[in-house]
Amino acid sequence: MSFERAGFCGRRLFLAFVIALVQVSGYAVAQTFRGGIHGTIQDPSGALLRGAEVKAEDDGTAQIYSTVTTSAGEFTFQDLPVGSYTVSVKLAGFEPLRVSQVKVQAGSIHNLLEKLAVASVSSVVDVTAATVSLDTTTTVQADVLSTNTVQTVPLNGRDFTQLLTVTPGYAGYGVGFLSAINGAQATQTNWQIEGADNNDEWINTSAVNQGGVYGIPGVLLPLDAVDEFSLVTQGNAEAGRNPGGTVNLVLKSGTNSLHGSACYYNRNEALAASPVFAANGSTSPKKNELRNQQYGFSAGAPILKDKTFFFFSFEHQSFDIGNPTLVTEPSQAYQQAALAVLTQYNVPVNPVSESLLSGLWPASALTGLAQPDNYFNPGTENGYSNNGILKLDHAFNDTNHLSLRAFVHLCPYSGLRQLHGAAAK
Amino acid sequence: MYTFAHTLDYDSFTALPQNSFDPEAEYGNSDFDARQNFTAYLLYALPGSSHGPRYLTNGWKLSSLLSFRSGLPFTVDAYGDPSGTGENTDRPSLSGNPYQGISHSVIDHQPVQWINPNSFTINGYWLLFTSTRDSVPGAHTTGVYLQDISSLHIGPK
Repeated sequence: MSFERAGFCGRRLFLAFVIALVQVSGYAVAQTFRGGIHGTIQDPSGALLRGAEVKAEDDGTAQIYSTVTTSAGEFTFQDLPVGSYTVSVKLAGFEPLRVSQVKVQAGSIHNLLEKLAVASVSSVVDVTAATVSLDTTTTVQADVLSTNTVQTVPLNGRDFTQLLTVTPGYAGYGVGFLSAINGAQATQTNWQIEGADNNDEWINTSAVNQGGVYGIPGVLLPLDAVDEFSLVTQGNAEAGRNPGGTVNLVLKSGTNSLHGSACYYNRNEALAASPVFAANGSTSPKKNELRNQQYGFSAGAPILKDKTFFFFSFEHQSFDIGNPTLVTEPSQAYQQAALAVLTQYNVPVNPVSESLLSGLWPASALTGLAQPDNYFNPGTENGYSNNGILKLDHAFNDTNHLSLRAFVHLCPYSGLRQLHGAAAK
Repeated sequence: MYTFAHTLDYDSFTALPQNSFDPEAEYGNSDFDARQNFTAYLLYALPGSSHGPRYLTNGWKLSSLLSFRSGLPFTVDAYGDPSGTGENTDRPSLSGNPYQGISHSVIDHQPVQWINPNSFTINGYWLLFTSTRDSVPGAHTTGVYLQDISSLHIGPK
């Protein structure tokens, strides 16, 4: 209960933030919130080759990233957008090499060890990368759930945070944003969306997808926008911040071809099992009202082919939930008892209290006795929210890429529109 | 995924110790000490049929999420402050089998008594617990979700 209330405060405090970074390629092999490719280039005898030109081309967007090998014959592409890449290596005196289908996954480094053949005739050596690469570069344990898994596993309320329950390190305590990882407490997981901070500053857990509180809809990240979900434990210092682990989401991006999706989900108590226990004061169990509808779509396309791309996803949620409980309300009987005490000591009645008592509660809720748990609250909550994500990617050249994201959540709450977060990277 | 885990701590959330002069005595199972946990997800792309309209007979997927977890432990509370430490977080002493004469089966949808309070004794003034924090296992939980999804491919592959 205290978590729910705190979460509500946290969301109000979670204001829009904007971060702009220009991606710089580096050689230090470090933990990455996206993914990376690390490789070693050798000649046929196993000697390390320095100064080889290495290019990685994103098969989806044709964006090219380039670097050269170090004196140790190594190269690293850090923070690549996830996807499939074609890596080509060129060095004078050797035959050019092309490795296709190099998989870059969130939170892990794909390792390549390639040998260049001595040039004999002008040809290109084509290789297909192994589908499974053992990350021998970093010490992290990264568990990546692919798009297919993220989009297909049944998740209550289409809430990505529940994917933690199927990742090693989760030991059964808490669900969703309150899951405990590797024996750490539920508030010791670092939540990120594409490397940007997604931590609630009040309770230090995922700021989005905390769920609704008393009819106020929570922020909901459109599930159709999630490309990969990763949990990194045993992280390097760069992942840092929290001892439990780092959860990162990679959002989909636009590519050179038009892609889209649409979904509709419906949940109704008619399809649910009967509860084991009867409600208070009753001998037969009764199903509570529990209805949830979610629909949404996503679309991604190029704006300028090979250069600029957009991706947009929208999700609407409307819910109607019954959660009956016994609660204590200032019933007429309570008020009479209080008035009697005031009269006894000649204390005048505060008109503010009077108008609050008559104005804030419906008369039907004040018919109970002057004792705790004097009102049976049917607990009907309903509400709706609209959630949207926009992502823009632009390639200036091989070394400079700009990516912008905006995540907006709108819900009816005190007539206010809440802008919960916008991040650019 | 199967996990066997045992977590211990001095405090899992914000709670006062029984005796502020001896916080080490709070060491015990964590509130979230789920010893055994098994989760699995299944994705199955149902084979399509060549009969009937393609958009109805193809592209169906069955998915399921299963979760089984052993019970979380809980602390038995000696109501009030019988020890006189003023912390109001006293634990009673376990003097027998906490499940003595207890059945966990649900009858007529009525609440179930989980432990026998008579197997605990309240200690007197300045006599503290012999039961540690989170010493009694709670109920196991099982969750099974099943979902059927149809995806319809529009346009060229």
